[in-house]
Amino acid sequence: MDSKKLTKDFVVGNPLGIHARPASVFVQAAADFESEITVTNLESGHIADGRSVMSMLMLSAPQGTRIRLEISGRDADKAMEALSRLIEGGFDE
Amino acid sequence: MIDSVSTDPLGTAATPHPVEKKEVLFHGFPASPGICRGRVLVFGAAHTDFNEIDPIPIEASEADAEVARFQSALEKTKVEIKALQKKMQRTIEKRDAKIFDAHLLIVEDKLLHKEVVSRIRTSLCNAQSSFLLTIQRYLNAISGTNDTYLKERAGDIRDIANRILRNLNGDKDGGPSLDNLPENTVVIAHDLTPSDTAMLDRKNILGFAIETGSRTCHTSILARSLRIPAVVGMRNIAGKFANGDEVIVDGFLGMVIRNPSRETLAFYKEKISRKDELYSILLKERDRAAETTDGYRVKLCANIEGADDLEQVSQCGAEGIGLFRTEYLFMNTPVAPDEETQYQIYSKLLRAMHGRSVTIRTVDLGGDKLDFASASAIREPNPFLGLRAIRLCHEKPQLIRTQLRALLRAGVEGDLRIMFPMVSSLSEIEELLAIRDEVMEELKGNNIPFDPKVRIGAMIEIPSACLIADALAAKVDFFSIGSNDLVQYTLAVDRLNERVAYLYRPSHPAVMELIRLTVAAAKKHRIPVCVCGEIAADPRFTPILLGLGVLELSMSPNALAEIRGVIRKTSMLDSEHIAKVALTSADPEDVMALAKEYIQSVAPDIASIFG
Repeated sequence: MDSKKLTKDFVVGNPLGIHARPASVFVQAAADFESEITVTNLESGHIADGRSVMSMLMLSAPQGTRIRLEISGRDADKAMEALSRLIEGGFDE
Repeated sequence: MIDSVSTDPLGTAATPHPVEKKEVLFHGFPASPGICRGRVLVFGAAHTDFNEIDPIPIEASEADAEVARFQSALEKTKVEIKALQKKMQRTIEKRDAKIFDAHLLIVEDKLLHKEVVSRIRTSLCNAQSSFLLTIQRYLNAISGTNDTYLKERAGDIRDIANRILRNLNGDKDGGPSLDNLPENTVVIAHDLTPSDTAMLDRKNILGFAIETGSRTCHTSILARSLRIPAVVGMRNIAGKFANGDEVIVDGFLGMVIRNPSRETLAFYKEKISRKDELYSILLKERDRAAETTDGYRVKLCANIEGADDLEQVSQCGAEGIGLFRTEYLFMNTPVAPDEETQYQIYSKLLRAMHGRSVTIRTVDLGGDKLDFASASAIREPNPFLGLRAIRLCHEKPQLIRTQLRALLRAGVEGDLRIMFPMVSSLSEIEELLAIRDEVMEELKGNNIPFDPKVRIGAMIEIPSACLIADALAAKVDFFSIGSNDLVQYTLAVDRLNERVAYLYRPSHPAVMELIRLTVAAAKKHRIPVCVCGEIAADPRFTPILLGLGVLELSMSPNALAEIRGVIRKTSMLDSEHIAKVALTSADPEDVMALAKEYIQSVAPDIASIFG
C-alpha cells in the first residue's frame, strides 16, 4: 500500500477566518479520510490536528492568514483534493 | 396567564415545610407583573469565571471516578445539544442548525477529552477544575489573536463549556436543567443569558428572580411576553436560596418571599385565586367581539414566531396573525432557507389560520446576524442604524426575492399580507414594489400559481416613515406600527442599555404625535393601521391607542384576553380624551398615571390583578 505525504499552502479567504463553523466543517470533512491531517499557521508556527475542532480553533487564523495543509496516508490524494476545495471555497460560507 | 389556570400555582406540589421556617423578604425591582408561588431552582449559582480557577486536588484512587464523571457529563451534554437542535428545528421546521454541529464537535473533540483526562490522572485535579483549566488554556490561545472577530468566537467555547460544567455540577447535585424543570418552578439566578432563556421549559416555569438586570433587560422582556412574574436587580441573593425552597414572587411590588408564613400565604392565595377566576372569565369571552362600550370594533391579532405558537393563537381567540417574524428561519444557518422550505412554512401557517389574516414580515436582521451572508458581516459601529432588513436588498437581492417568491406562492392558501420592516423613505417602498412585480412576472412566466393580490404593507418604526406617512400610504395596502423600535429611534434610547433605559418612554408626547400622524395618513388613504409592539399588550395603552384611532392591535397571545376585557369596558369618548392629554402632556409619567387611573375606574378587576 503506497503512503504519501502531500503539502499545499493556502491563504484563508473567508472574511471571518477559521472560527467555529468553518473549523467544524473542516473537521467533519476530514473525518471521511483516514490519512493524517495537520494544518499549520505559517505566521505563528502553530500546528493543529485537522481532526480536532478545538485544535483548529486554536490556530487563530483570521482572514489573510497563510496556512499549510499537510496530509499523509493512503487516501492523501483524495483528502487533499476535498480539503483544498473546501479551503479555497471559503469553507462553504 | 393560561398556564396558571391549568397548573394551579397554589397546587399540591407546594406543600408547606414540616417545620415552618422563618419568612424572609427580599426586595428588587418589579420587572413583570403577576404573583406566583413555587419551588426554587437556583440556576448557575457558581458564576463561571474562566480566569480564576483553583485546582481542586483529589486522591489517586478517585481518578477513575472523576474521569467517569467527566465522560458522563459529556454524554449528557451531547444528548442535550441534540435535543436542543431538534427543538429548534421543530420550531422553525427544516432549518439547518450548523452551529449546534460545531458545539457537538467541541463536545466530541478528542484533544479536549485527552487533555482533561490526563489532567485528572496526572495532576490529580477533580473533573471540574481539570476541565476548567483546559478550557482556560484554549480561551487564552484564542484571545491571543488580535482579531476581534476571532476573539468573539471564544463565546462559542464559553457557551459549550458552561453547558458541560453545568452537567458536571448537576451530576453531583442531581440538579435539573433549564429545559427540563420540575413542576411549579421559580428560577433564581445571578443572570440568565438569551441562550439560557431560549431553552427554558416554558410549561413548568412560574416566575423568575435575578440578581442583575433592569426592567428592560432580556429576562424582563421575556417574562412579560410569557406573562409570568419577575423580579430583577435583587442584590446579594447568592447563597440565600436553596433548591426546593418555597417562595412567592410578587412581580407587582418587586418582592420575593422565602418560606412565606401562613398569613402571607393566605393573603396571596386569595389574590391568586381572584386572578385565576378573572382569567377564566376573560377566556370565556374569547369569542366575543373586542368592542368598546360605544360600539367601536377593534381587531385583535397575535404575534408569533413559529408554528409552535399556533395552538395558543386559537385558544386566545385572535382574529388573525398580526406579526409573524421570519428571522428565526435565517439565523444560525450556513445557507438561507430555499424557496421551497419557506413556501412550505408559510403555506402551512396560512392553511392553519383558515382564511383569517396572516401578516408575515420579511426578514428583519442585520447582515451580522446572517451567517450565510458573511460577505456583509462587517462589524458595524451602529448596527441599529446600519445595513439591515430591507436595506440588504441591494447587497443580497436574492434574499428578498426568494422570500417574496415563497410568500406570493403561499398567498393562494389564505389571506396573506406581506410587511416590509425598516422603511425609512418612499423610494425603498417603490423599489420593493418593483421587485415584487418582477418576481410576479417570473412566476407567471414559469406558470407557477401565486396570488397577485397579496397585500403589501410598511412597518412604521422609523420616525421619518411617520413624517412621510401620507406618501407611503398612497403606495401600500396597510401600516403596522412597530412601537418598540419607533420609541427607540424617536428618543435615541437603546432600551437594553441599562444606563439610559429610564429614558425609554413609549408615552412620550413625540411618540404619540408620530402615531397620530401615521393614523391620520392611513385614514386619509383608507388603509388599515395596526400596532404590534409591546404597548399593544399593555392595558394602560389600550385607551390611548384607541383614542389615537388605532383599531387593530397585535400582541403576544397570552395578553389577548386581558386586552379584550379592557376594550369591552372602555369608551371611545373617554379614550379620545386620554389620547388628547397624551399628545400634549409634558410629562410621559402623567399620561401613564391618567391611563392607569382610567383602567382602575372602568375595569378595576383587571387593573388590580394585572397591574
